[in-house]
Amino acid sequence: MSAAVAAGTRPRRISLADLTRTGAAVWIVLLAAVLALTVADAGGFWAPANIANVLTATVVLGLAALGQHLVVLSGGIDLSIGSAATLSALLTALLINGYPIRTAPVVIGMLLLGGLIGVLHGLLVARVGLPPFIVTLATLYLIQGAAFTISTTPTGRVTSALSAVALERIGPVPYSFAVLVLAVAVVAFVLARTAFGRQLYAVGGDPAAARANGVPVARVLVTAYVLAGVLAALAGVLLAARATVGSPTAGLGLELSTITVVVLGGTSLLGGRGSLVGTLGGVLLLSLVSSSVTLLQLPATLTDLIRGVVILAAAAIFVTRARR
Amino acid sequence: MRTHIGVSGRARQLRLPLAVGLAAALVAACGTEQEGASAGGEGGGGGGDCANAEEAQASYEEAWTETAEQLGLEDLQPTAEEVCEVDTAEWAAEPKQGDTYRIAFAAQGPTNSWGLTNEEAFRSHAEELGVEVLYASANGDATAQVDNIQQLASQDPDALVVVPMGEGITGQVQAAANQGIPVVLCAGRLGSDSGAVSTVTRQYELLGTAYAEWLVQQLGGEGQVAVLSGLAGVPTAEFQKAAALEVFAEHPGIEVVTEQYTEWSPTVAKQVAANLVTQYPDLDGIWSDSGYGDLGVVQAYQEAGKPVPPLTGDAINAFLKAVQGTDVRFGLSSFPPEQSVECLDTAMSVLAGEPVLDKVYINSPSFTHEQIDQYVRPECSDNLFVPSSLPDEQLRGLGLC
Amino acid sequence: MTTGTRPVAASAPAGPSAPGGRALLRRALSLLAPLAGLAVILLLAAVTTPGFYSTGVLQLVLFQIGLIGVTAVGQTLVLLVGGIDLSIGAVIGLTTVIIAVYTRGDGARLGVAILLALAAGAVVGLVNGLLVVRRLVPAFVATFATFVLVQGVITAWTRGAPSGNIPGALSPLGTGRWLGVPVPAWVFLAVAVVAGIVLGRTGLGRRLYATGANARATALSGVRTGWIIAGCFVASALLAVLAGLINAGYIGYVDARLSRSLDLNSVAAAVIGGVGLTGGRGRIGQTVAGVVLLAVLLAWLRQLGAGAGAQLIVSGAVILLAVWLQNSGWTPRSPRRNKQRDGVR
Repeated sequence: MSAAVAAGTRPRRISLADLTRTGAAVWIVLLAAVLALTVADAGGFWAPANIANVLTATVVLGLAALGQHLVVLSGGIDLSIGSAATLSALLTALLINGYPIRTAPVVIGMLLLGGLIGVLHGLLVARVGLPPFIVTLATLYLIQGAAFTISTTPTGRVTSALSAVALERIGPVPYSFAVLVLAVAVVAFVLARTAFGRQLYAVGGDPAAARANGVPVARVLVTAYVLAGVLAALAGVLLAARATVGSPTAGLGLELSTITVVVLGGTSLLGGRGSLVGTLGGVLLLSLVSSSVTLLQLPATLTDLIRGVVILAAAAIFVTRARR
Repeated sequence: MRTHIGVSGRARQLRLPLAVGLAAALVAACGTEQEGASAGGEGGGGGGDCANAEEAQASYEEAWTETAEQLGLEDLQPTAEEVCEVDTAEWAAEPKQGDTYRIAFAAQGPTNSWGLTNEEAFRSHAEELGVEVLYASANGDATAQVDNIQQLASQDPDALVVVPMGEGITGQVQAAANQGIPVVLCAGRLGSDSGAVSTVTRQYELLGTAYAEWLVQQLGGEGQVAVLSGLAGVPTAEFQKAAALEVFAEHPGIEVVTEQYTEWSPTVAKQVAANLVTQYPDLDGIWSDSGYGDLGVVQAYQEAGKPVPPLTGDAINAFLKAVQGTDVRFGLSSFPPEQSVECLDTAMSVLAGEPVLDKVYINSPSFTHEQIDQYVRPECSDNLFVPSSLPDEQLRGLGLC
Repeated sequence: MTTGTRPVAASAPAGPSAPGGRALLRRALSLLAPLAGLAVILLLAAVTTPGFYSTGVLQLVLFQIGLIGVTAVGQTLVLLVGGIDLSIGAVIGLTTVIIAVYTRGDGARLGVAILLALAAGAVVGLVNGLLVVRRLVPAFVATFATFVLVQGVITAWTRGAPSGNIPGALSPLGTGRWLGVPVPAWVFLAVAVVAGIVLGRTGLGRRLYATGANARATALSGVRTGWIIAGCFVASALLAVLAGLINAGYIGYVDARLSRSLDLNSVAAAVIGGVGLTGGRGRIGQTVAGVVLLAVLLAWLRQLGAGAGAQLIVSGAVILLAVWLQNSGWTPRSPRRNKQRDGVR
């Protein structure tokens, strides 16, 4: 926020800033956490089943966070990711309802739905010129409301093939992790190797300059929101696959978790600067923290406290400074 | 920079294969038939034949009869429900590690006094039985509980007791059952294909129906009723409400004028009720699923200087304290947090290979305004769910007394 | 998001300007969108829910206005300096817990308990402010972190089941009436008037707008912008404590569900009224209009007996519509400029 404190400019150690910017900082914390867990309970932590737990927990969060990463890079924010995932999860189970033949069309339909939500966001932000925070806050309510209108009780059922993707694993690697890896690869490629990727950084960094240089700002923004919508819908499909039924509250709170991991990973909320590696580190860190509370059998009353301390400390130490 | 058209075309090229590839990967078998309800689960419901059906059914109806007696209801028909005995011989096992059983407990977490009491009762009973508890807290969140269940199952416990936070955990429960861990659902339920050996809970339909029937009886079958449910989308709230609406639909003299959510928060309930006072001055009764909500309702009516219409809910000490000595008429029942004790007992029976019921419906006290003095605990905390089966000493240790 | 790095050229403070006919007109126009929205809802209410215009409902709406309003004023201050405060709900919850646990229902201990709650609120506000000012953490992240942390503190401290009662002495603050109007509405009025005067009539207010509009330039001109920003976070937290006291007085119990929800009503109210998210733009009068609109809307939806889905849909649509109207020429700001300002933020 506010570039506010520009006046308080102080010389900083380059190293910390660099670590933060490249997303290395969060990986160092991650490494420390892994070491600590190894010391605390090596057998339990490194058991393939436990590694699978951590990896499974990264899938839905990771997919949604990839989308958030793109939107934040564009200088925006997407608060509706959680409710978009909810709607997609509910509809996936409701429409498939146990018919294997419907699986493919419904999943594709959900991705299209996510894309459609993204188009709406993109147009409102880029063409009408509304602030992304407000647009997506409004659609957070709208989409959740739509989900509740469809059903307030759990309903529908996914096919066993779909749930196998979410529930089964080879050694320590769950099948669903492959979906995340694939999505990460695509997003990484798009960011690093396509003109859209370069333009996204430009638009997020300085929209006016980007426009002056002939970057189609509106299209870049719409594309970013569309990708975020598609990824949120995909996260919703996997939520449904893991739940096997559709729930009207499936993705509750996902938007805040995704913003948290994106920021922990060193991406600037101002847009234009960020590291995909860092975001992925943030996803792993959050999954690791919540799973280790159970692994180490820490008192449940401390869960929120630990979570809060981790986020606060990480924010205070590692978050990319607001100033450019 | 390149023109945008090429770019977006390229992005689209990437998206499409992703979508198609993924979808193709997901479709393993492409039949036009709907998969059976038992597709993902085994062992739930005891297969085709219902073993020992009569005795099991009688035990199911007992909870209804008793509730009807306690609330003085003449007509309380149990909802259709098939309860069977499950042969647990396949689950009978010695402790997997050491001499003591390790029972995993996927709990709600200490988000309120219900969760706190629920897990304390479980732990102290586990201590009595000499079994080890592997604990995980969902913090009231189904998504977190999905990870909890996977984590607990990966530690290979002898049995798993789950307090379900929502149907979102169904798949993970199935996975645990398929892994060979007997699962007992506790104080809540999932669909019949969850793979759980047994479900131990106070029945939502019983509560919703009993409250509604009591209200109908109080009103003599005539009048306007408001339905105040808990939280939208949460099974505890939605199933009770659905059962109640069915009862009201059977009585043509009863008109449900509005359905609202109180979020189980006295503050929200008070605002909702303040609205009822002005909007439906002739309201004759309030069906509510929670004592916390009733707290707010009573305050709203008292502040408006109006008589409180007869209402229903679960028995929380704060509500009893608030209405003691007033002429508020109410019919309460309970969703006791201590039902976790019976959940653990059922899990132990399964491990011992003793037959259990696939649905153990807890019998717990119901009462009306006439018996308030028996149940109110003036010396205890507002947050105590009454009547509590925990000893006073333990309640004091929890800060509840 | 909320963080503005708009081009300096576009950042002329739109705050209180020199008195004069045009300024007055501009001020009136900026209230037009929320007031038009209010008129529409009142009309809809008249048609759909005949019982809406009764003293009982009016009382209820006024109470809602008071409760949302107190936090919305704090939120407005934070928004004006380009921040956002997500920790308000947690502070409200913390306040009720402190009051209950410390007093155990004993009215004699209420004074100290209130001081403790204010101190706790000030600490939360200070942590937010320091993170934002000293560590340059985005306000969204900083206040979300404190939200989770405060919630964790409450759980760890009370084990999820806070003991103790709210003293009856507090209940007039929540349930009392003066001249037929609920006390919370009066409290809101007082808070809004004070905030309005400070923002519109004092040097502090001018510095606050300048900080929000362009912190760097303002700092260069010698204003201690860090203090101003931190002060806004502390003020917001203290107003959240006040809202917590009102709430405790209203219901008389610790409502465990309150602290667990991320309360966005205050943001929604300010934004519906037309307060900008990027700082430096907006007046308390707009916030008041937004609060009234939101409270009437919520009351109407409740009267309508709308389901959970419909309530959410209508709330979302109203927020979107309000911002859209403000951005498309109902107010004297040109949409093109707004696009530059907010389009990508």
